[in-house]
Amino acid sequence: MTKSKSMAHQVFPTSVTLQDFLLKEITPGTLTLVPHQRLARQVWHRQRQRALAQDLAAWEPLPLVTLGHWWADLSRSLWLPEPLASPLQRLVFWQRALAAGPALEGLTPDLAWAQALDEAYSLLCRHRLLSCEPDPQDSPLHAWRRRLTAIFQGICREEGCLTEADLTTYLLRALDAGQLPLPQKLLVAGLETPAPVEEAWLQAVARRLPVVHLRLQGHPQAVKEAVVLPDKRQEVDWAAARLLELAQEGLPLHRLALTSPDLAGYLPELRRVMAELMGPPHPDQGGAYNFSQGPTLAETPLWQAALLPLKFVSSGELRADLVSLLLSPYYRLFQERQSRLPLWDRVFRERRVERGWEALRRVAAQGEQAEPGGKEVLEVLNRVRQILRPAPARGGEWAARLTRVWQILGFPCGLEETEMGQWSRVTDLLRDLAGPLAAVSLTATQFREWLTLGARQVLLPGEGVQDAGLQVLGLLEMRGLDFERVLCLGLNSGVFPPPPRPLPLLSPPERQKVLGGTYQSQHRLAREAFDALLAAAPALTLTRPRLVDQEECVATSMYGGPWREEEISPLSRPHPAWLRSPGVRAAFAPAPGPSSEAAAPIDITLPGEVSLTQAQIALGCPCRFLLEILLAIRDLPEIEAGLSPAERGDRLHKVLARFASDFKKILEEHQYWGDEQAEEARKLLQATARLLLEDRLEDLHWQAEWERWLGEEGLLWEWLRLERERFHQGWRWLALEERFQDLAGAGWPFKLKGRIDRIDWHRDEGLILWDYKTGEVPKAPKVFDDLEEFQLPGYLAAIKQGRVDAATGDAPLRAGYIGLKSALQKHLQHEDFPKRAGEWGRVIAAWEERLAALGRRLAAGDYSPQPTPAPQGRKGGACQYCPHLLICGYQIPESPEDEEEGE
Amino acid sequence: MKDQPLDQAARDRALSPQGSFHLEAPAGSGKTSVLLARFLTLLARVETPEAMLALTFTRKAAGELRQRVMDLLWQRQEPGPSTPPWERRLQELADQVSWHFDKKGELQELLAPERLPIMTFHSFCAQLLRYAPQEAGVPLEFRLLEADEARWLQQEAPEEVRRRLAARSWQDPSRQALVRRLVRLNNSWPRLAGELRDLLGRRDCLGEFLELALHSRDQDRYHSLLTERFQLLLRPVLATLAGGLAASELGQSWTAFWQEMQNPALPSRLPGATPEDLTHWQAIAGVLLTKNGELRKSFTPQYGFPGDFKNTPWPGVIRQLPPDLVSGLKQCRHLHPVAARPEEVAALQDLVILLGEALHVYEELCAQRQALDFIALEQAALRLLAVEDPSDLLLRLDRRLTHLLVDEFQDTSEAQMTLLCRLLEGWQEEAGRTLMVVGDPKQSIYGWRQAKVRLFQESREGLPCAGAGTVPLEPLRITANFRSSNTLIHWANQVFGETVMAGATPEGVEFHAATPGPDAASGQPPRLALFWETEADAAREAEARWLAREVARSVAILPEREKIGVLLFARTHLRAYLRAFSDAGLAVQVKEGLKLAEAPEVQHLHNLARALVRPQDDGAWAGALRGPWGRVSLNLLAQAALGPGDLWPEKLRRFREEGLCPLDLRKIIEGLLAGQAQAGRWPLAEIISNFLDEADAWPGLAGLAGPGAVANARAFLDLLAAAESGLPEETLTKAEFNLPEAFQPPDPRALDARVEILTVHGAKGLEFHQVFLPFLDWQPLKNESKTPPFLLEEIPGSRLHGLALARPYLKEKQSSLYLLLRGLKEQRLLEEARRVFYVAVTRARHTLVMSGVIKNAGQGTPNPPPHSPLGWLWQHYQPAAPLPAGPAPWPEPELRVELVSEVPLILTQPPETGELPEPWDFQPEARPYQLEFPSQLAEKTQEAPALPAVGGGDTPRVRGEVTHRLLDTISKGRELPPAAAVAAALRQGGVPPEAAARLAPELLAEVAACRRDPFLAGLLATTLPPLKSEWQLEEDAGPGLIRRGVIDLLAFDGQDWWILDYKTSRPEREEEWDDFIRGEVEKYRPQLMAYRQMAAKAQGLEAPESMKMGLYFTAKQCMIVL
Ligand code: SF4
Repeated sequence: MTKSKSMAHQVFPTSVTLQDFLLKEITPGTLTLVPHQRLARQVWHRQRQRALAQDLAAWEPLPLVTLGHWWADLSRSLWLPEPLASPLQRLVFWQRALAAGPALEGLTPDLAWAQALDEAYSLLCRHRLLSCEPDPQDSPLHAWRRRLTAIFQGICREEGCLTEADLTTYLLRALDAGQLPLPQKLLVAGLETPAPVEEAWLQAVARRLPVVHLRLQGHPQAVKEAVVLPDKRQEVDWAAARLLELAQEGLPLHRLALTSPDLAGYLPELRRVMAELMGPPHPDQGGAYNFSQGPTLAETPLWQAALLPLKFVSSGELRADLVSLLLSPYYRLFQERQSRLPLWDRVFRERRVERGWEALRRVAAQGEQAEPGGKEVLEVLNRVRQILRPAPARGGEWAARLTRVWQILGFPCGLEETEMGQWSRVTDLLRDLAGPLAAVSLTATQFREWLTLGARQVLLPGEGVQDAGLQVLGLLEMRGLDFERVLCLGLNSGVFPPPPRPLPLLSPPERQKVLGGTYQSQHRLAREAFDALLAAAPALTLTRPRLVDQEECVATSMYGGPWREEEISPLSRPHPAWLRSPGVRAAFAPAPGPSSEAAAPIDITLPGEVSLTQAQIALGCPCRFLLEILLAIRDLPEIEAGLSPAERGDRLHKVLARFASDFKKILEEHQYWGDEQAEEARKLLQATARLLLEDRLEDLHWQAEWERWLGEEGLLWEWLRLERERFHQGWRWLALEERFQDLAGAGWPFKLKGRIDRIDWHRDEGLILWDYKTGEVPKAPKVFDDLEEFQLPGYLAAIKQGRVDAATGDAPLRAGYIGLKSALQKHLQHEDFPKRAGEWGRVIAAWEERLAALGRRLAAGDYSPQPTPAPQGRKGGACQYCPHLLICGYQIPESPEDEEEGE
Repeated sequence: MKDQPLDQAARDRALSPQGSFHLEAPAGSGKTSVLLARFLTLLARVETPEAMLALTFTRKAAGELRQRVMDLLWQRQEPGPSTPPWERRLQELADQVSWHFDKKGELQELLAPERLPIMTFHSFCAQLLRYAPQEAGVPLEFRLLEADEARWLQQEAPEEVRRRLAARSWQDPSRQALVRRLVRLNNSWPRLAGELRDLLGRRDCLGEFLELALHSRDQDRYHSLLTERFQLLLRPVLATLAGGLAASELGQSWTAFWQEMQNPALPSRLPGATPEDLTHWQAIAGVLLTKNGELRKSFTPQYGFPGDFKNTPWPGVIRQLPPDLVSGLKQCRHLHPVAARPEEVAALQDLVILLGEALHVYEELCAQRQALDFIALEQAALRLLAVEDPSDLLLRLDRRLTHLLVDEFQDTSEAQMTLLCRLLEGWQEEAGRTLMVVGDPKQSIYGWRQAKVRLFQESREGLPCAGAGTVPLEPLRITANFRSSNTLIHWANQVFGETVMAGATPEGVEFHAATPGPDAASGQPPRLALFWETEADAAREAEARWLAREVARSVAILPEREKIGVLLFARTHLRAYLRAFSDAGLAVQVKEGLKLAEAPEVQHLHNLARALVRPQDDGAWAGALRGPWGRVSLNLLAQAALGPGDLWPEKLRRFREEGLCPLDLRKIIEGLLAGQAQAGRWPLAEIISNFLDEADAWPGLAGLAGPGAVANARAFLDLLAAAESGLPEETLTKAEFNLPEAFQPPDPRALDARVEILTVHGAKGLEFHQVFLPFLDWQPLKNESKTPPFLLEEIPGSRLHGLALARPYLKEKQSSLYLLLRGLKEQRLLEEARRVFYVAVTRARHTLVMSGVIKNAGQGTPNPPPHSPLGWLWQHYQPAAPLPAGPAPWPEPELRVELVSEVPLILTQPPETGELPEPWDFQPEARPYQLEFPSQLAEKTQEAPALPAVGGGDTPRVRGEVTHRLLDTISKGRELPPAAAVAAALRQGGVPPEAAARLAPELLAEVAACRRDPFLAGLLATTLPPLKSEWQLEEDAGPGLIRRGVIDLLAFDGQDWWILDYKTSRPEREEEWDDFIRGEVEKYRPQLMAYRQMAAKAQGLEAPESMKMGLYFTAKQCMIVL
């Protein structure tokens, strides 16, 4: 490319000299191209200060624009015959091209490919490499790209839209024809490596007016320190402390800047650390720090909340999404009902409903939560679901549907100031999308994809201001800016310069020619950025982390000077910067003495009667009894897949009780359990189970359970066989599900009530009380020595006190468990502890005494935690399944051994 | 030469640029230096660095290698007299590299670190795929799944399968398979889900089973596959038996024995190794072994022996049978000759069908995230390299491979081996291309990551590649260990060479002795401390106390800059050791020590997060009140709980107002309520952080464990922040999923500690002055479930995997296939455990101290745990019982053993913390001035933007903009554009094409009418001074205020200055023009006044009032002068 005569170059060793030059040299008629708006703003700021110093009352801001803006201005003055396709419009066209073009194996024609094609197209245009002519060297992918590009351009023409390639052609033509309003002189600042299309433009301009390139080339001596920190975390901790130190030294905050070639990678950590050490970015008094780059719209909670209705409807109607919606602070309809709506979630969980609107609605409509307000909410939600039901519709229609849903639900309510800005971007985006997608048919999921894609492209402004506070900005934005001190983080090789971009849609020769496609060009770009960085301040601090993801990293090749190793550990060694953080300060404060719970007695009225199960809780731990029973503090259950042990046990109990009560009559009638009765029993058992599981048999877990109970080798057949054996031994079912109440004792805190699963009777052996166990059957020592089981002694006491109608008199009395865990012999058994049956009297007496002791304790208001049995080693004791550990504050002794998983 | 190791020739040979090598290098042999030297040697001979590729298995290894190369190339130091010769050599090689590239004038660019072709297998695969995503069939911009995300998806996939199948009809075969599988597992969904999850994570080993899952429902095919695998497994077992028996005296005189026995069940001839022979072997086992599988000692007729058998020589012959043969016979007793009964086949088919479904869902979930896990990554890379001639493909991707180096080759998996082979395709034909693989089979300890040590062994003479044939390699072995003392090297040589690693099994490795380096110190013999096992955990506690005491003693005399490593085989007793260290006041650095979730402060913060996200969680709210920040008494808690309200936030809101509520509790309640109100608006971690700051909660948290508690709390907040999704419920769920896997950060108090406690796996590649190796009684098989739901093991000698299911819950016996595979698995684990032991002892440079707990079998007779490092030492030393009480040396090689009985508990107070420095002050900065835009003066009263009127774009706004442009055009004396151009401008702004086409002539007509309007025409005609259209201005508007704005038009009509603001708006349908104009005038007056002031200042007019100003309504062509 031949250089025009009027193209001159001028090199500046620092940004400040370049800015001085601009402030001095820009005369009327001179236009200056800047690499980014931020430079324009800094120059204007200096211009203002100069004007104020000179007592000027008003002035025209210097004409500083980016090349992109200049082109836009010029094209506006040209009144182009067709509009330029917007980025979203282009993606729609690419999608159409993908649909119309040939298929290619291994490639799903999705939005990601549309984006990649668009990006490749722009890149090729910028490098003047665009060609749709087939090339014999092409791989199938590259040939396909050319084919699709031709189709895309056809669509653009058809739709009457211009592409970037067309735009530059128009401008160049108009330039040649003298139709453009040109300045008298053009200064080009900080555009060291223009893309070929920019270069061609500047060359063409230079043929008409003087063009001066202003380049930056700082000196490596500006680097005052280069520091290696062990990892990224320490690097950020160190940099923040260093900035505070510089501020401490008196440097004005806005003259300090922090940058990085990988700023995005550092932002979350930087935001956290700066807030921790310096408070909010934009306090009332001014600026503490400013992030030039805000999050994208897609990252904001407002956006996530906005999409919730669509998300709920289009991704499986999940409970979690519905609950998120109900709790979202942005929906007025729900916010107004926060005193009860969250309870829905409790019911969903208790009923184990994970997804499906119908099921969720059914459950929410039942029970106590369905007060009138709840019904209204359900109706509205139902309407919302109908509006958003995932039938495909055109993009415009989707946007209208979503808007309608927002209106119905009162979204967004209670916006704060920053959220107002976000909301206006949401509405802009929806409007921007509605146009290009007006004629495109989409499913709800596809529409959500488009929305997400759009929102990812909307960059929100940072949180502070540019003229007060520390400045955090990207490396490219540093070009031409001037500061007193700049910290640049993350200067590792592989990050700076980054590896070549893979650009799979470009052929190897094309990749060689585009910026960023090769090591060489990445190296060159990095060199220029580094030169500009060196010019940005008289003193620079470079840092880099030594380890990233456990990988030892090497310093960037851009800086050849020595690196100093440093470490910072704010919690190990007190650091005056970090002592600003309340957490860090607390870590060094002397440890407070052990806090002892003030043992104020708790004055609470006890219920007159409780169930045996509740009494068992009280005996297991008074604190648990207080929390769970008296204060009704409920744990929020997690929904686990499969059958809940409680429901499984409950249904089995019911089936056995119903069956036994029906079959008992048959047996009483025949007084015989022969083959005929056995057959009858089988049929009855099956019918009973079918009846009681009717509402569950659609569920595949219950189907499996049915098989487990009543399939070949089923648990219940085996149980029936054992019962038949016992029948032949002379045992008879006396009573089933037998209730009792008013069980009382001297000094007991309350009366007891309960229900005995089954009572059997034998002419010689007397009575036996059974408790069905669908889990493990307790071993004898637990029952007789450790006295850990409360249920059976309670049953026995009830009989003894004559509280059980079905079993009075003084026949010999025993109790035991019927194990029903599985059909395995060791699980399915009648365990009546024959060897220790004589000890029941002692067990009951001990049980009664424990109740009396409990009575004394509760009367004194002592509900302190006292788990019995106490946890020991890996055995959790009474605390094993108790969810209140964080409330009671009980210290479980540590087990020395951890669970170790095998391979 | 004295300073040269004995194996110098092999080291030199390994650098030959023409040769391809298989280099075996034991621990401490400076393997990385050899690799480095070869790398530099070759680098000095290639055109561009891309001609080379050095592959490692971990990022850590890649990073270290790259760092060393860069140091050598760029931070050259003149070798001094103390520089070791090997370093000097490396420096010379680096000089050659620099010289080579300098010659081309591309030194800086070509030798930039990012161009050094050193990478992990996985990053190499990822790089290939990024360049050719379509050919590899991967998403365009894929990312690699993080470990926690992969776990999440592998958990989610079975759940989603369950949900999907639940929605299908009863008849659906997959649904039926699920129900059957559940029944077999006693209806335990968690067990089935776990099974599918594990299989997904090992799908790369499933081969044909996966094929079947995806493509076949034919039960016969499942059956034949199982049979084939069973026979593959059984044959070697029987072959060993046949060989063993044939070689024994009994076998050689079998016919005579048979005749003597007269037992029709016994075969008359020695059985072979076919499945049909199994019954014969079982008959032989029945005769020779007792019920327990021991060799028979009694030969009475009761056991089927002839009456006087015991008086014959046969019992003696039988007693001579080798132990291997006996254990083989024992193993075969329970085998069934049939691979699987039909119900087993059906059950396997069910599982495989479900696996197919799960895989399908898993792939779908990955695709939605555009993500690949490591298995998918490797498989895609293999697919890519299979498409055509790989070197062609590589060339297209800008890689021309000439030299390949592979580090840690003992850790190669089957897939990685195939990948290597694909890369090497066609290499034999081309001269000048080299390969070197380096490793130490004795250090292969990554079986769980599919590392196959046999690949290292099989490649000694050449890489056996199926397609590419064998790529020849010259075997080299270096032996010098520069790390350890003479004594330790000899100790390991003897103990491992003669016992622990002697007699290689198919899963084992051959042991080669190391030689000491030329400067090796003589050193101390290793020590072993033993503790009698007691009830509960007293012995372990004693071992821990002893360990802490010994470590403390060693630290006191540790040479400068040296470190002590406490290496653990497993984390089982970490807690006990840490407690002992803490009691002894000893700070230790722990790498991946305790779980984050176990820390009480984290449990409280987790609970707090739950409360803030879920007002419906009563327990979490009550817990939040009782957190370490407040410790509200139970009494107060009860009062709050009994207050009115369905939900706790409501209860607390009311309780706060009551007189009963103490002030500090009020602060906490306020913090909690404020946090709850922010949930959904702010990131959860930020909300909690704010709560901790505002409610002054940090001191309470720190009170739990000082800086350690704060570090844990911060780690938890990081974990929450990483899980942030914008939706609190989702964030919490994700964080809760990740929490159990997260480790506590290193204890801040141990920053400068010189003792590190870490697992043997974590210590690989490291070395310590002194190594402590507790828990020598570790039994690697002890924590393995005896009945995992399935077994998937490689069948030795076949490269194929066997898959077997555990028995259904109602059955007692496992299938033969299962038993055989379990045997293989145990063998593999044990062999790997031996290597773990080797890695552990070879980390020590100077001293090795071991300890463990041992059973007392009575009267001081020790009973070491079988299959444990302690057991192996016993096997080697075979010490006499009982053990002496005091220290005693065991020969040979010397080991100093001590039976420790009493270890007093020493409690040390933590050191006092000194005076804290004052925190630095920080003040935000005031803004130099406010920047005000007059245009916003009119908008100030506006509300939040309304919902968009979708469909028509924002027509009034666009219309206004285009009209302004048109007016600017005529102001500048240019012609109005054609209607099409105006329509284009409208479309550009988002107006739909038809509407734009309709509107364009209207706008043109409007502007043309304005131009005709005598007032405006008059102004536009002025030339002196020239009018200013779209005039940008700034103004000093008073102290600290600067205004900036764009004035639509400024003109001087010869008499007056005029300022115009164009208004393109018009009244709504119902509104009268007059009313509308009145409204607009009021609205825009402040803006225009501001403009006038700015313009007057800019024009140097003393009295701004002298300037005339007005709103020009374009639709009515009317000027309203203000
Ligand atoms: S965790 Fe243990 S001590 Fe605490 S309430 Fe529950 S049972 Fe009682």
